[in-house]
Amino acid sequence: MGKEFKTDELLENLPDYINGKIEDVDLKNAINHELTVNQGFKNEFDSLNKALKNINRFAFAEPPVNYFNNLLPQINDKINAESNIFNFKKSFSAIWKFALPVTAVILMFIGYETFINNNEYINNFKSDSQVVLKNDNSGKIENDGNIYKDTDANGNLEPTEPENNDNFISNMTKSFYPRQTDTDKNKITDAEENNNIAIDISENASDEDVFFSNEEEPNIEQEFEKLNSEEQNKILNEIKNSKF
Amino acid sequence: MSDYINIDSDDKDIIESFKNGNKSAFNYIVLKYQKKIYWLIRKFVLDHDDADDITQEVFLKLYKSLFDFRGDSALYTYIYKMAVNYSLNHIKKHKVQLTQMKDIDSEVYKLKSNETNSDDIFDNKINSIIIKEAIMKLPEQQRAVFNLRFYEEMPYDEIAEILGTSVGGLKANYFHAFKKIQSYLNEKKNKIK
Repeated sequence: MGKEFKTDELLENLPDYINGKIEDVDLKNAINHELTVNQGFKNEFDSLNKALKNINRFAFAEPPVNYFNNLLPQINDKINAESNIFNFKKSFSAIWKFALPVTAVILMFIGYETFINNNEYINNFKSDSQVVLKNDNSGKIENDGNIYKDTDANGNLEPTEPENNDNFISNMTKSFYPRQTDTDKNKITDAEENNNIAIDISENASDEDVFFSNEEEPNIEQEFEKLNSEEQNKILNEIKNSKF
Repeated sequence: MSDYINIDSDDKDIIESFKNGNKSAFNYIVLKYQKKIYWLIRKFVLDHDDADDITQEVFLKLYKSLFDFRGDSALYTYIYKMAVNYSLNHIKKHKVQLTQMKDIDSEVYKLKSNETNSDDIFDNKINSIIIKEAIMKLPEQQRAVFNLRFYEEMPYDEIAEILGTSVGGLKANYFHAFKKIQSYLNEKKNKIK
């Protein structure tokens, strides 16, 4: 006894039946039987059979001649092109892997250098500006170095620690005098000789020159020491009053 | 092993040779499958240039993935799967259906007004154009099943593997694809008459 099939199942197998693709003998017999007894099923068969014939009449146009001969070289060209791109990307990524940390280190170094330079600048500025003269109510002059503590009856500065006097003058001259050329030195000397104010900042001096003087000013100290105490006080008062 | 492969060699041997560093082994795969793959794709997208592009893409993809191919399924199933997916993606991406549809309609009317055609030629041309249109109108799954079963004559279990579905339902898809093509043919022919 053969297998039993539902009508829907037989319908779904109709295309294969028409195309001769059904190998199951029971299924084939069941369809044959249904075609003889079921008119609706027979109509469906005719309709599909017509469709199949129509589809079989339809043919696709052939591709260009030699298309299949040229296909392999074209594919190989694409593969080579892709390989080149892949190799480029690979080498680029290798370079990038190296370049990225190096760039980061360089940037960090530059940042660090900039930070250090800024700190040095600030420190230099601070150290050069440490001599801040303040005149308090008791008539004492205060500074970080405690070089001068007292003023005399006229309000003039009196050095309490003579050994620090040189340092003070040195600091003062370093702070207020720019690097000097011979011409500048001559100008200062001339000014002193003419009893003019000793501070003669060169027209050619830059701000840096004003605030960051170097060690090339021994003559000013000597010249200052050569002055009598009245003249020294006068100069110091001038400096004090300038509130630089 | 790699020295002895040729286009008639077993797929496994060709793949093994390729994996052993014989890159030219890939050429045998191309030569072996290029016609089948081209025609499979062509029946999906219908246009030769599109089919050519997709065929090349499929083989390029195969070249890249062949080293990782584990052989769980047959190579041709693997390639067919790629070809079907690429074709369906192409149809979705470029909306082939809509654009081609206009071309076909204009072609049908052009042919109808051309009185130099004999009745047979006219019928054949009209028929081929309408069938193209009918196939393009099929839903994705039905179109895939129709192409693989009708043109490629694949067994249902292989179609199920390629499409990633179960066998049940594929026969129904195939049947409905035929029905839709037939009803579309009837509808269009009645319009033209």
